[in-house]
Amino acid sequence: MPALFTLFNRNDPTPTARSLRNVNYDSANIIIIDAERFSQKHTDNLRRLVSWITGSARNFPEADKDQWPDSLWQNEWDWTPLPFDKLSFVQGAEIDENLLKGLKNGDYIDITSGSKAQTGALIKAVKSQGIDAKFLLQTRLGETLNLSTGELTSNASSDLTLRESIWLSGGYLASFGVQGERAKGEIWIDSKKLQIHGKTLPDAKQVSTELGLRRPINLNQGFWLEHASTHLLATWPSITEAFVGVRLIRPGFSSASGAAHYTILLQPWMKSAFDSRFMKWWKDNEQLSGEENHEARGIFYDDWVDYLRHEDLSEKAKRFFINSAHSIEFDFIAKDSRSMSVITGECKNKLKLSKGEVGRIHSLSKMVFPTSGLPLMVYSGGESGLINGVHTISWTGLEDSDILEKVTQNGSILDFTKGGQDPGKERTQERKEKVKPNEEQQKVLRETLLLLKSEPRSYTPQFMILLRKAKFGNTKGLLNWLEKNLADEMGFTVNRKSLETPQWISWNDTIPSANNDETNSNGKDIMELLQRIVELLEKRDS
Amino acid sequence: MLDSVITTMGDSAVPSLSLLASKISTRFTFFYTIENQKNAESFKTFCEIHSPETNAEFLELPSISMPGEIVKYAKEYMSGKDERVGVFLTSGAKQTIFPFLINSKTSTTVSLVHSPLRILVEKSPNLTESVPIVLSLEELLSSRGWVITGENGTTLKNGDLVISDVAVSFDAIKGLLSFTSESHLLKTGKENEIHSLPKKEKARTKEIDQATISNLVLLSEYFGRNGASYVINGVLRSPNRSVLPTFIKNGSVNMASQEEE
Repeated sequence: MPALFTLFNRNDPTPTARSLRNVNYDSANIIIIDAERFSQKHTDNLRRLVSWITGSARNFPEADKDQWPDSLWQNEWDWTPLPFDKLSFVQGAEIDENLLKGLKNGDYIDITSGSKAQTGALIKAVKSQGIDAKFLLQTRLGETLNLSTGELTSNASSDLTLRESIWLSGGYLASFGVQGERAKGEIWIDSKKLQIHGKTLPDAKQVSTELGLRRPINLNQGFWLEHASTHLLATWPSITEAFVGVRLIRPGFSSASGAAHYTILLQPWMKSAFDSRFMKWWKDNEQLSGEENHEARGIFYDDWVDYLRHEDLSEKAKRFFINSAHSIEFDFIAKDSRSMSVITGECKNKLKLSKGEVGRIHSLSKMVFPTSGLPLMVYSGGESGLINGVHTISWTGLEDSDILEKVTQNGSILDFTKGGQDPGKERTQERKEKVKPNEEQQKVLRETLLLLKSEPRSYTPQFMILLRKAKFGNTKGLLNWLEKNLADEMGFTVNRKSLETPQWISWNDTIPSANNDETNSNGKDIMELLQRIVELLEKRDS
Repeated sequence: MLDSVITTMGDSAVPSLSLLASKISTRFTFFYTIENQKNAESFKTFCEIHSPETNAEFLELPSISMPGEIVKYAKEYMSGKDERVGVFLTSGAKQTIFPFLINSKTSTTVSLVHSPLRILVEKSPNLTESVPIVLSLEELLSSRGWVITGENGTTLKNGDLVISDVAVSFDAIKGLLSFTSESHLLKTGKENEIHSLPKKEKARTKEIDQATISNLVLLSEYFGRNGASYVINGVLRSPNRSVLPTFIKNGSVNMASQEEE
C-alpha cells in the first residue's frame, strides 16, 4: 500500500483533513512548514487538526477548567478517529527533499493544502528524486483528482461529515436538532400551498397528517418553516446532511458553562433543575472594592463550573445544560458537496424582510465559517432573489435544487423598501424612542456584558442576539447609553469602529488578548506541541 | 531565455501582465477556462496593441468544473513539448496550472514575487534568475479593458460602463492595485452626524453608499476579489456596514491622519 505525503494547511486545516480522510494509504506524513513563525491562530489550527485525528474535540482544550466531565460530554459529538499509528508529522523551514524521506514509486502526494509556491516546490522536490509519485488534489466537487492521469474518484461515502467540517473550519462543537429527510422533503414538495395575506403557507392539516405528527403544525409560529426548509434541502442531490436547530458550542467547558448560565437564567422553567445558589444574576457587593468584587465574581462562576462538573445532575438538568451551552445558533445548517460549502440558514415566517435581518445571518455565517460559509435566508414570501448579496429564497423555491445558481445567475435583487407598504405609515409604526433601560433591563445588560468579558463577542450581531434572546426590547441608542451609564462603573471603553468584532469593547482590568494575526514569537514551541500530539495519540491508543 | 512560457489566466491582472513585461521569452501561451473568457479576450486585445512583437497564444481549456479533462488536456499538450518550457505558477487555480508542471519534462518554474516586484525563473534549486518588473497603472487597467477618464482622474470607463468617484492607484513595489472610494458621509463632511441625520438624509446616504459598494463589486469582477484592494474610506451606516462584502475594507483613514496632525 502506498504512503501519503500532504502539507498542513495552517490557515484552515480542512484541506489537510480531507486528504487524510479520502486517500487510502498505508502511512501518512503530514508536512508542517515554517512552524517557528506560526501565529497563535496557526498553532490553534494545528491543535484542532490533531484533536480531529483523535476522533474528538474533547482533546482540544488545554486548561484543566476547560476539560469536559464525562457526564456532560455527548458521545454523538465525536467522529471516527484516524488510524493514528499510521500518521507521522514532519517539519521543516522550507520544502526540500529531506521532508520526503521514504518516498517511493507509487506513493501519493496530495497538493490540496499549501500555497502554490509551496506546492510547486513540493512537485519539483519529488521530480528531482526521479520518483514516479501520484499527485492528488481534493476538488471542490467532493472528488479526489489524480493530477497525473485525470482520474476522478468520488468521496461521497468517506468525505468529512458536517460535524467534522464545523469543527475544522469554525472550531465549534455542533449540537444538532432534527435531521433533514428526503422523504419528508417530498411530502413538503407535494403539499398543497395556500396564499394567506400574501404569504405562501402549507396546508397545515394535510402536511401534519402525512408527516405523522402528533400535533398539527402551528402556522402562527415559525418552527414549521425551519423544518420545511431543512427537509426540502435534504432532497437536493448535492446536500449530504442537513439539520434543524443547530447549536454551536465552544470547546472549552468553562466557556460553555458561562453561556449556559446566561441562557438558563433567561428560561424560568429551567432554573428549578439546578442548585438555587447559582440561579441568580451576579450582583456586586457595594461594600467591596472593584477588585474584590471582580474576585468574588470569578469565584462564583468557578463554583458554577465545579458544580456542573462534580454534581450528580438529573437527566433533565443535563438536557437543559446541553440545550443552553451554545454561543451561536442557526435555524438550520446543511453541507453542500457540490460547492463544499456549509449552508447556514435563517428562517422568517413573514412577507417582507429588512436588510438588517439578512445582514445578521450574513455576518454570523462569515464569522463562523469565513471561507466555506454560505448564508441563506428562507421566508414565506413569494419571490426569490438577492438582498445585499445574500440568497433570500421563498420556502417553496427550495423545491428546486438549482435555485441558488439560478438566483446567482439572474442577479435579481429583492427590495422590500419600494411599493407594497405605505412608507409614511411604516415610518410612524417603526419610530422608536431611545432606550432607557429599567432596573431589570440594566441587570440583563450588566450580565450580558460580563459574559462578553469572559467570552468576547461582537456588538453586531452577537451582543444584539443575546439581548434579543433576553427579550431586552428596543436597543436604539444603546451604545450611547452604555458609554454614559455603565462604562465607568464596569470599567470598559467602546471602540465604535470595531462593532463587528469582539474588539468593540475593551476592559480596563484585563490584559489585551494577543492579536491572532501576529507572529507568535513567544508562543508554544512547535516541538512541544508535536510532543503533545504524540502523547494524545498514545493516550487514545491506550 | 526560455523557449516558451505557459500559464493559466486567473482573476488578477497583475501576474499575467508582469509575465508579459518580463520578456523572459518571446513565446507565451495563456490558457483560460470558459469562466475566464472575458478577461482572456481583454488581455489578448491588449497584447496585440501593446506587445505586437511577442508571440502570445491564447488557448481555451475545458471548464473548471471538468478537472479531469483539464489534466488530460495538459498531459497531451506537454507530451509534445521538448523545448525549454517554463510554467508560471502565480496565476490560475491549482487544478488548472499544476497538471502542466507535473507533466513537464524540464520542471522550470516561473513565479511573481513582490517588494520589489520581480519575476523569478527557477531552473534548479540553486539556479534562480530574477527579472525586475515595472508596470504602469494605465497598462494594468487597459489589460482588462478599462481607462481613466475625467478631469480629476476618478472616473473609470470600459466601453459603455462608466464608474465615477473611484480613486485608483498602483503600488509598483508591492504590485498592489487599489480602488478607493469615499462614503457619502465622509464626502459631505457629516461623519460626526451619523446618529443624528434626518430620516430622508439617512435613506439618501444608504442609497448612495450602496451604489459605491456596487461599483467596487463590479470592478472586482474584472480585477478579482484577491487581485486588488477595494476600500471605502469614511463611516458607513448600517446595514451597509454590516453586510459589506468581505473583500471590501472599510476604514476612516482620513480621520486618523487628521488626529495625528
